[in-house]
Amino acid sequence: MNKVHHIGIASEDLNLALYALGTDKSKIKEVIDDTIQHNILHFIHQENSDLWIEIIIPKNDNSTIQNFVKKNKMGLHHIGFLCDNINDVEQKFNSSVEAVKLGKYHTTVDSFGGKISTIFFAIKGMIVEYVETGNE
Amino acid sequence: MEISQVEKIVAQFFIEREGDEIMKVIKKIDFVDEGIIDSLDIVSLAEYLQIKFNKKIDITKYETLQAFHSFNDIVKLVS
Repeated sequence: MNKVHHIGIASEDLNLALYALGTDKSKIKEVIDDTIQHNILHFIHQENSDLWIEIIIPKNDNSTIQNFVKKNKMGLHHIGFLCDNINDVEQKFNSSVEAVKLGKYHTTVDSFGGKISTIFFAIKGMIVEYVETGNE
Repeated sequence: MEISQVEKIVAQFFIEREGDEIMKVIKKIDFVDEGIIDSLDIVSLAEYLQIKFNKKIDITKYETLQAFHSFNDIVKLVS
């Protein structure tokens, strides 16, 4: 199994998510305005487990998590795994009818080391993301 | 109303959610505009179709998302 890189928490409200996670705004390392998925992303690094937590707040009705937060208010949205080659991951999941591809993106997250490639799949209601870093 | 086997399978997804009454209007309505399916349901529908028809459905394509508005277009997509 690939290393868990981050967990994505979707919430209608940032303070609510910080409260649930037992932390505060001072721990946020980076904030990104995701204009592709219409979300604001907040990255927190948990040092003792070397795990990133991504708090996703919808920007508007076009947000990719808008319906999720309408139904759940807040919740675990996805698990992000590191991978060496995103194309291999895509090929693997594309060969199965159990997995539905949600999107593939190339973006920059300084906390993740700069340019990254990322792909999302839904499998029986669970969303997994694979992240390929080191694309500078 | 005569319906094909493919139509029956597609219709089953909506019957399970909306009940048998949906069959009276299933070929006339826009599932998205009517609020019958949202973005989360689109993922569920894609998964359902993939498994039932053993065919990949690419919801990252605009044409696929447009097809999900209409029963007849969904049937065409998987036929």
